[in-house]
Amino acid sequence: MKGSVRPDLIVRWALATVFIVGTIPAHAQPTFEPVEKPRMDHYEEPVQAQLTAAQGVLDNLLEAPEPEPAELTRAFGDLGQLYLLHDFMTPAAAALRNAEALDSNDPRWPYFLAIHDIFEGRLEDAIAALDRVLLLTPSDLAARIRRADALLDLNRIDEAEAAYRRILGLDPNHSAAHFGLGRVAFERDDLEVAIERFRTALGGQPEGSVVHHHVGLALRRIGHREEAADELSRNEHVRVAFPDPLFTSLQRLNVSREAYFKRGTQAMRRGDLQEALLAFQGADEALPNDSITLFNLGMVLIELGDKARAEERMRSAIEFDQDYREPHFNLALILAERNDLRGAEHHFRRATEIDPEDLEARVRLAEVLSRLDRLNEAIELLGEVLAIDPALQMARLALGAAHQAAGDRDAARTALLKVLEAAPGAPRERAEAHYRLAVLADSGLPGSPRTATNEAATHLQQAIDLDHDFAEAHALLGRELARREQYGEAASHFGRALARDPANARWHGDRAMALILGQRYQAARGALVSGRNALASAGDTPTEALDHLDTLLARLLAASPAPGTRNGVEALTIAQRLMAERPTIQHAETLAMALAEIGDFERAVSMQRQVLAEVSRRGDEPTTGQEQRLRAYLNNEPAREPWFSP
Amino acid sequence: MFGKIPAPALALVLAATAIAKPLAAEEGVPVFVDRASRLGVDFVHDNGMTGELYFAEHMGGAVALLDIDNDGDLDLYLGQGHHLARRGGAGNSSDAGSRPARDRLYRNDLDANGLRFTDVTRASGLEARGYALGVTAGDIDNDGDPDLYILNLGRNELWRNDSTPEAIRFTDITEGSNAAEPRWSAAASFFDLDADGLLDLFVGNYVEFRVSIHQQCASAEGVLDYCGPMAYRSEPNRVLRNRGSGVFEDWTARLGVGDLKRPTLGTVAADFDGDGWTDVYVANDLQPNALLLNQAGEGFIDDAALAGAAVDASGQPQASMGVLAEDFNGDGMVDLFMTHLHRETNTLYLNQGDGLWDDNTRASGLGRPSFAFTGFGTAALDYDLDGELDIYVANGAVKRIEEQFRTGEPLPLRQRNQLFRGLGGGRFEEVPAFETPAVSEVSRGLAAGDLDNDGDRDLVVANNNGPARVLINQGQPEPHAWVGIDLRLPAEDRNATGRRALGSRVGLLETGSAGRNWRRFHTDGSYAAANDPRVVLPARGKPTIVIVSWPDGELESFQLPQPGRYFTLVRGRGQVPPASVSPAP
Repeated sequence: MKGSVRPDLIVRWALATVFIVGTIPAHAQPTFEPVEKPRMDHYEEPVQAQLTAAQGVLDNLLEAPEPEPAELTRAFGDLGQLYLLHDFMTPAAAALRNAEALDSNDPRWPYFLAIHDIFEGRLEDAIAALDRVLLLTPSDLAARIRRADALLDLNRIDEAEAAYRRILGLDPNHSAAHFGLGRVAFERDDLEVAIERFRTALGGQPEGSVVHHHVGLALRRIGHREEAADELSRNEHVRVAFPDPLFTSLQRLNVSREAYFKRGTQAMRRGDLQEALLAFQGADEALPNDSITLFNLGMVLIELGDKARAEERMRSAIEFDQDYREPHFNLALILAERNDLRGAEHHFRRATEIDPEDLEARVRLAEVLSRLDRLNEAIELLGEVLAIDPALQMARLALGAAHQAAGDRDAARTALLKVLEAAPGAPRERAEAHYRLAVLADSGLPGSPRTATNEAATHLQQAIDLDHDFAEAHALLGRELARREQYGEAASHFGRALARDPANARWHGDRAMALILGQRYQAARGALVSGRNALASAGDTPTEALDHLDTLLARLLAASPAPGTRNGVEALTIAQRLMAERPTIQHAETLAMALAEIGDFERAVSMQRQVLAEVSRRGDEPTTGQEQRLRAYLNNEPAREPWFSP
Repeated sequence: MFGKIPAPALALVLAATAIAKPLAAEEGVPVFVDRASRLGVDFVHDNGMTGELYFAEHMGGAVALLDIDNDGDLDLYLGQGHHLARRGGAGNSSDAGSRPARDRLYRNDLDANGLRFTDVTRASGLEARGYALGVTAGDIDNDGDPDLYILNLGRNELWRNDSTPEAIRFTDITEGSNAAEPRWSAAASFFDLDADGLLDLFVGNYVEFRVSIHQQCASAEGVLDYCGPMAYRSEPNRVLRNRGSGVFEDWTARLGVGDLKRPTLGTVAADFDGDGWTDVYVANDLQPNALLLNQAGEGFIDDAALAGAAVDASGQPQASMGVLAEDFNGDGMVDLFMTHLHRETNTLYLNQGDGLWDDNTRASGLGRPSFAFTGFGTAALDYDLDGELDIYVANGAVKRIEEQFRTGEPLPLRQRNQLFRGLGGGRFEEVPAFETPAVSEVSRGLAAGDLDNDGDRDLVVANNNGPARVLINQGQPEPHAWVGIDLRLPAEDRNATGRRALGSRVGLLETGSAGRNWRRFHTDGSYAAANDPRVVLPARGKPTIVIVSWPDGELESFQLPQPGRYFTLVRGRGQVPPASVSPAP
């Protein structure tokens, strides 16, 4: 039963007027406001239990002949907080007022009443309640900030200024107070002062990005439009926070799945994935086996890079709701990434069955079909998608790729050129189209005619012009430039590609090779070391990729023409480790180079002869370089070649 | 004779003519009285709710006021909802159920005996059975009558108006028009993007919701409730360029708008930067709004952030729904007003000139009274003809209201509507007890127009899952107190009626007066509505001179013989204004 209303379950219940006797002196017998009980029959079990328990405590005390005033106060206060938390504003206010009537020395009750009034837009009442708080706890900065903000919202500028200044008297670094004074100055058109205050607030709380908005508005008013535009663009709508223990404790009382959800999504937004994970796990505990919770858990795990557990959660989400599109779609993405193409096909197909209008799922399905070499199916599917939405450029891109895979270069080219016709909009899609056209033009690679590679380079440059951070385009252009022996520019493009994807082992190797071939040996050594570190910290780099960089580094250290770059001992250490881990021909040859560099020509010769023997045993011909190096070692000369590639 | 006037060279004073007329509400007489049933408007919106709380259910309520048959009075269109198919059901592309009700069309039979509406839906051929969530009106074929573009959950519909003086007739030309936008469209504006004389279309799309991907959302305490926009992916807006003959082409990507994926609920087209090209302001739900400045028909640039019109004074995006573009403080520049969610304020951005806006909500008096309400449709109208624009806001919550839920109401989202009286200078005060009956409903669409042609604006409120309200303004303007303006472009055939000059502005010209009041000539804005484009201005009982700023910024003045009636002004048939006159920026 979802969301329907059952009038028969409506509960109207009010506390009778109660006179406390016994421990409450007769002259102080208060008359309590009635506190209605909200309807709870549709609430989640944890919330119902929490509210029922709080109501029960209060009921018992009210039925008791001589309730302890402190207990009664706490019962009203606790229930008032819960009602406030769950947006039952009328009973919340009544309960909190009763609590305050019983114990006017406890600042919590007027504070929560003030929160209630702020939620209701009754700022004058909120200020009055906060004044009562401050009589009890003058140093309560949260109450002072809320009071000052309310004054400002009421346009009581002078009073707001005094209130903010009082806060700074208690805490000179209070960012929210500086921010408030900035707003006061802005209201008075005292823009220089406003900007200074805002910047002080930002200094104390850089994450409060909303302050950039205010700086921007002030700069704009002064006439500094460019600076203003820059500041305004930095507003990510994060408010200036201030420590507010009572409000935080109130929020923490919420045990509903939705509350955990809110915490989770907020944590996701600020990039705190661990907090998001904990929050969604809390939601899972509050309401187990809920497909949406499981899906969100899966999404957090994807962000955390834990694809295996993400896959489990997506599968669970589907188990509890087989018609839930999102987990099917995201599970398919995971499966496609790890090359389980059949699985990916199944789940993309389910996503499209559930939602036939999900064109993105159809395009993804077509991409999987292309990878499964079912190119005709893919092309047909993409044709259907484009018939529905001719403006869906991702479908055209996929169509171009499918035609290319099918060997139909003309059709591929036609599809991609149509994306370019969408000028001047869709820059990302156009960049992607240029990139793919470059791949298409360059698909022959070493054998490509010069006109083709020129075309490829032009497309790649256009792709980069449209998307300066297009890593793959930078890398491919780097390769093209290296082929043209423009090694410096090539290395620069590999560097820009790596700025976007520091864990790409191949690009680290390519960059190092471009530097080596450009005879920038010291830079190459630095690039290899930093690349090795980047890959190691990435954690999941394939061993072969690390081997590749280590081999390049060892050979550079052993055989660089630049004396300052060489370090035979370090080369030997790396080469021996590589050989111990994986005794390959390549590693043996690297070891021979290192041995020669430290002057151990005897072992270098021995190792190089083993290399040649192994090559011969495999029925291959030794390379010229391998034979040249053996002759060098026999003449007590180390390897000194301009070419270091493994 | 008329000619092009270089706008910056002149200095105009447009009059803010105060007509002494007591406020009806102050005398204990309501400003508006609902006469729907008495006038023959028996429309009841059915949102098709089943308890599943499908997102689109509580968003509908579309209304258009337009003179379909060119007989000089406003006819009425009302959009209908219906059951939505359940997940896995046999829903078509819009998830529509199998027996949808239809949208309705009422002809205005205003005559000497008074105002009366007749349901002409069946005879008109308007077989619109989509799940209507909005509507806009514009003359796409320059034949002098307004055509209808209906925004649905799913495929939008384009209906060509083929009416004659004898009969109202619509033809569905959606197929082949390239205007069958399949997304959830919530707002649209007709405007001439590229100054080619044809009305193009900006379509504001909301989120990717279909019944098949319905999500269950809950309130803080875990009770199922309607979802917000963040539960679904936002959809991109569309710009459709009119190629003539009822065919559009998608220029979204070409104009650089395709990447703007935000949940749009309101759009309004106006020349915000005074360059003679019509721009578009896009009101988004919980995401920054966009101010798309038209680059001579070749593209749009979103300038909202720098302009100060993307987020509110605190720097936060708001849940924008309905939107108005008018000169609210009488300084000659187009300002912006938007309705928002409960616990946000409605927001007034005042145009400071030089492309800059300031959020002036706090000082305007519009903020705090709106804090407890969720506003949707809104109208700017000078209900008391005092020369100051007033604002009506149609309210209705989007999240369950506990007190109503507790009493078992099936759609516990009711709120009362609000009327704010303009005090001048961009300041307002709420008018108490302004309508009868004093109802509290789930109001959504709101269209304003002079239904009885008596010189004051009436209103039609499209309620969600409830009856439409036809609110007749109880003011009785003296004939000398007002003048009504309809603006037309010249037709190729001099004897034919040209299309309405949407995007123009018009004001009174009175030398020596202290203020400047421009009124925009438009049908868009509000929420899910198309308005009467005609402008009513206060007058002083003598021959009146009005000045028109046509959509390209050219000025032309017209001398009207006497007040108390509507005049149709055709471009090129008036006079160039005197040399002491300049347009508003």
